[in-house]
Parts: sequence; structure tokens; C-alpha cells
Amino acid sequence: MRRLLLFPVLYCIAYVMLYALNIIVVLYYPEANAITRRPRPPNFGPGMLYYGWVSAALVAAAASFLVPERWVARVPSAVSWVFPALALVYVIYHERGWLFP
Amino acid sequence: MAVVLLILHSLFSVLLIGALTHQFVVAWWRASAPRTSFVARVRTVQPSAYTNAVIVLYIVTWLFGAIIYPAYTLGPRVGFRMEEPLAFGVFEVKEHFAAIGLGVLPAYWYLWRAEPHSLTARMTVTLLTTIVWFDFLSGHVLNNLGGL
Repeated sequence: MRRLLLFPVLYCIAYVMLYALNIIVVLYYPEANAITRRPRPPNFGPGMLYYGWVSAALVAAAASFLVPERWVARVPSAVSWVFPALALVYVIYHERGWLFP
Repeated sequence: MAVVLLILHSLFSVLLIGALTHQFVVAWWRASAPRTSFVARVRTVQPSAYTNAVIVLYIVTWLFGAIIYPAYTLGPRVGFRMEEPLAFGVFEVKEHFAAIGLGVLPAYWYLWRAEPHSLTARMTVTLLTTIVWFDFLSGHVLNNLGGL
């Protein structure tokens, strides 16, 4: 069960990478009610990357269940909050153009 | 329909913020002896008792938010982007904070079962409390500025 401490680490790494690089996992266009892997023309309306990022991060974090317990025992438990805290700081940094124009 | 879901999202967030704030207060300022005043009694409860409720409420609140997100994207988000860049940025932060909090829940559950008095357990509840308070307050302000 100690493997669960690695879940936020892998989740945050995956989420922040996808978010920082604006990688398309899945694009949802609510106006056209369409789910695609590629950007569509403007007449589809605004696209949403959020669901794809969260889904992909959850899948990536599920890999924490594959890590051997003896490896997990060496990992300090603080990683479970340090990585998410750093991710929050990165989000503010990434959105600084909107927050501090 | 989006308004009904927004109200449910808000109601669950109120329950979540209550549970998390209680746990946060008890985690950092626990009192062992029985207290008489209403405020002091808050400090005597068992902090781990809130864990499962917090997880269920967080997931339900996030799901309601995720369901109404398309309505926000097609509605107020466009106006915010053009006319209220700060509001637009605050919502972007809110949605990403909520997503990051979702990833913390499994470790939070484990820590409050296995090491409930550890600094790490207290830091996870602090992190989640920060996320939920920010999202709660920003959500209300944004909704007042130009909600669904």
C-alpha cells in the first residue's frame, strides 16, 4: 500500500508535462460535441484538453502499483506532498501572463 | 441544467471545505482533553475520521465541476478571455489545482490510515485544504463576475 505514496508523484509529473507542453491527449469540442485527437477548424468552437490530461495522468500514476515494495520503502513519504506543491507553484508560473499582466 | 449542476457543485464544495477545514485544524492543533466551548471542541475530534468523507466529496465535487466545464467553456470563458484576463487566469489556475488535488487523494488516504500523526499526513491535508479554499473562493468570485 505504500506504493500509493508514489501515485501523486507520477500523476503530477505526467500532468505538468502534458500541461506545460500543451500536448493533445484527447480534444473535446463541446459546441460540436466531438472528441478528436487532432485540432479541428474554428467552426468546431473552443476545444478542451483538460479531460485528456487528467485521464492520461491517472493512467500514468497507476504505474505506481507496478513499483516493487522494496523500492518504495526507500522513497521518503514527503514526496507525496512535495511534488504536488511544486506542481501548484508551476501552474501559477505558467499562468503568470494572465495573473500578472 | 448547467445551473442545477453548478448549485450541486457548490453544495458539495461547502461540505468538502467543512470536512477538510475540520481535519486541517485538528491535524495541527489537536487537543486531547475534553473541551467545553464549541470552538475548542472541534480540536478534540479524531482527524482521520474525515478522510473517507473528504475523498468521496472531493471526487463528487470534481465530477460536477467537470460536467459543467463545457458550459463554462462556451459561455463565460470567452468573455473572460477578452475582457477580464485576470479572471480567465484565475479560472485556469482553479481547474489545474483541482486536477492536481485529485492525484493527491490516494496518498492522502494511505497516510491517514498508516501514519495519521506524521508530518506528511498533515502536509497532505494542508495541501488539499489550500487547493479547496482557493477553488471555493475563486469559483464564487468568478461566478459573481459572470457565471453560468
